[in-house]
Amino acid sequence: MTVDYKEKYASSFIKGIALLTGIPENRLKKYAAEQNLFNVLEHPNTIAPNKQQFEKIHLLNDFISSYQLLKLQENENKLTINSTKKAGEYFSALLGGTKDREKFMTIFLDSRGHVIESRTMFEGSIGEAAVYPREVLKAALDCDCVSIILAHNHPGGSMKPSVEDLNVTQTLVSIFTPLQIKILDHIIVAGTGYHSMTESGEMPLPLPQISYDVLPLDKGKAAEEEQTAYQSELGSQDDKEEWGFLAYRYDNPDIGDILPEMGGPEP
Amino acid sequence: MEQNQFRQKDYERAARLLSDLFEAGSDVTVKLYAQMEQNGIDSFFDNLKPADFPDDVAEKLTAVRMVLHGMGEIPGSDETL
Repeated sequence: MTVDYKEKYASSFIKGIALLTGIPENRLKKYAAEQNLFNVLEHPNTIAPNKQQFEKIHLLNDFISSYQLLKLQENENKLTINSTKKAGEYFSALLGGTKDREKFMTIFLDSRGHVIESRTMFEGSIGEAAVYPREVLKAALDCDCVSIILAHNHPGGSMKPSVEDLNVTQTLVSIFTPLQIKILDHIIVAGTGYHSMTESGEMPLPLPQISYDVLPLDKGKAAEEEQTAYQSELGSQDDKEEWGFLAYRYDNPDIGDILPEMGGPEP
Repeated sequence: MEQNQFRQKDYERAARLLSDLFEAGSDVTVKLYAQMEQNGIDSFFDNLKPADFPDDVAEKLTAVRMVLHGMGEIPGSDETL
């Protein structure tokens, strides 16, 4: 969401938040006197909400994203994304305000660059999310698209694509190229800015052989543990192979120092 | 799928999110969706009174409008909310 803090509208914002979430008005006013009021939506934990209040803020955030998306769609008869700039601005509007978790989105386009569908495919934690190429493939085939634009946000603020971001992109390019579906770009949104892999010449070429196995990360042990923990939910190894299931875990490069403390991979 | 069908899905999702936020029933979800589809999201908050929502829902919709106004998404002065 595009945040433009207008002090004169602060009372309106505070009253609305108080009514919807149950967070007391005087607590919000006190917070506003010391902090950026919009942190309440972007970083809800900074106001120490209880569980119910946190869930309300989450729902409100999701509605605001839906509202902004619908406004974009309604303001053009057909939403067309035919340039990096338009793609960057589009995803910045949708992802720029999400600071507490990673979201992976896709837009599926027809032959004239018209948006058939825009979808949040996966959500994760503040530093990572899992991408399941099979679900992206299914969604793309369901809507008969000819091209796709990928996007995700970096809550930490870095716009630089991580190794995992590049790997995810390459795998999807490899999967879709034989189907004559083009991955046009992968946009990374951080704060109010965005990074386009196409613009920076980072879009990978497809690999000659497509693998649906879990891609080993540089920190191989963590990837193996992730695979084991995840696939135990799916059932047997035979089930996994039958489904051709593939999960990626891509990391936010900004929190590399934190990962070992969280039980993640060692540097 | 047609573009309109996807927009309908987006209206449904927006209506469901509001309904969950308000802890309202499915009848309210249906009404919210109908209003969004009829008026569009851009005019949705300008047409709350004619929609005749229950008082508690109307109050919360006004609260959402106040939040959007505070963010600069909806124009107008505080007095008009």
